[in-house]
Amino acid sequence: MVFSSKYFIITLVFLLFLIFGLGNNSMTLFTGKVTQSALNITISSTASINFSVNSIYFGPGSVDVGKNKATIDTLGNVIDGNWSSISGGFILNNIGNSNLGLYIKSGKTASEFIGGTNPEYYYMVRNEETNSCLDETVTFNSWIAVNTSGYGDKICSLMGYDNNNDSIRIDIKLAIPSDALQGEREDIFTATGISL
Amino acid sequence: MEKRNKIPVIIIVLLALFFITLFFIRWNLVEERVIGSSFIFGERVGFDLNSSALTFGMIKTGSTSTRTIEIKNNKNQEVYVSIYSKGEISDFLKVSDNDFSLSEGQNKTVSFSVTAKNDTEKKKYDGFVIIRVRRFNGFFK
Repeated sequence: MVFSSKYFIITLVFLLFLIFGLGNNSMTLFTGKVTQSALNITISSTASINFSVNSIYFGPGSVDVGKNKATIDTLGNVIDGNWSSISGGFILNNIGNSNLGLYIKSGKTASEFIGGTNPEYYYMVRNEETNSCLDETVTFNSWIAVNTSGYGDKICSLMGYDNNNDSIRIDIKLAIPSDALQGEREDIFTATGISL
Repeated sequence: MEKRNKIPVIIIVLLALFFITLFFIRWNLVEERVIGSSFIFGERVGFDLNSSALTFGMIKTGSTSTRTIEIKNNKNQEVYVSIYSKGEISDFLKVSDNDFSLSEGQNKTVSFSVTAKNDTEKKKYDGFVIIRVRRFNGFFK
């Protein structure tokens, strides 16, 4: 019994397909068999979601002539500057089915983000829906200097998941000195939720 | 050998090769875990900390949601871990590390993240993360 070269090539190609095709990626044909428990797989109880301050787009602007600084925030206030007035901060929801603790941090300090002399960079937390945070761990409805270390500030140690009480709002305020860094500025806020 | 006699022989040989390969693949596979995964692309940011699935909650344009999985090798030999994804979520899912070996008792934390782009359609995206473990023998990984 002798193979012709034609059949040998066909056989070889088929064999290579089996080894490299099935061997690496196409195991789904044969999935589902667990021969023994080799792994402990633990899905973390935390999630981090980041969002750009740039998505709150203040647009181009400058400090008014003769003023040391301008103040702008996401509550619609623009003081001593000509930035566009905007209303609307970040809304954080708990859309899952477990209570969670909530942390928030910024990616940059005031100096890194804004620059210049005595820049200021704050956030403010409040319940978008009543009783969304049942255990406040920072002062709500007050401006708080941003924190860039670790998970940042723990803003709420018990955020519920009831559909009518599961929404927190984060607002941003910037005090921009007249000698601030020029050009488009961007920072990333990160919210981290930990399931309770 | 006449042509009509060769064909059955070839078929038998191919089938033999197929089953031999299949045997090695099956022998090589230690375990496979399939974990459901999803995220919603919407107007807000939301957490969904499901402990039995890799749920990323809701993200909006430019946002990234990240969760981690800890993988520990309980087997008394080195294993090779590969991570795959299936479904709509595959286009958005990134994994921090893939195709790595774990020695006996070793564990590793792997980060998974999803990011929505400007042109992403606002809806829920589902899929699966598949963690496949094979014997680490240097041939079939």
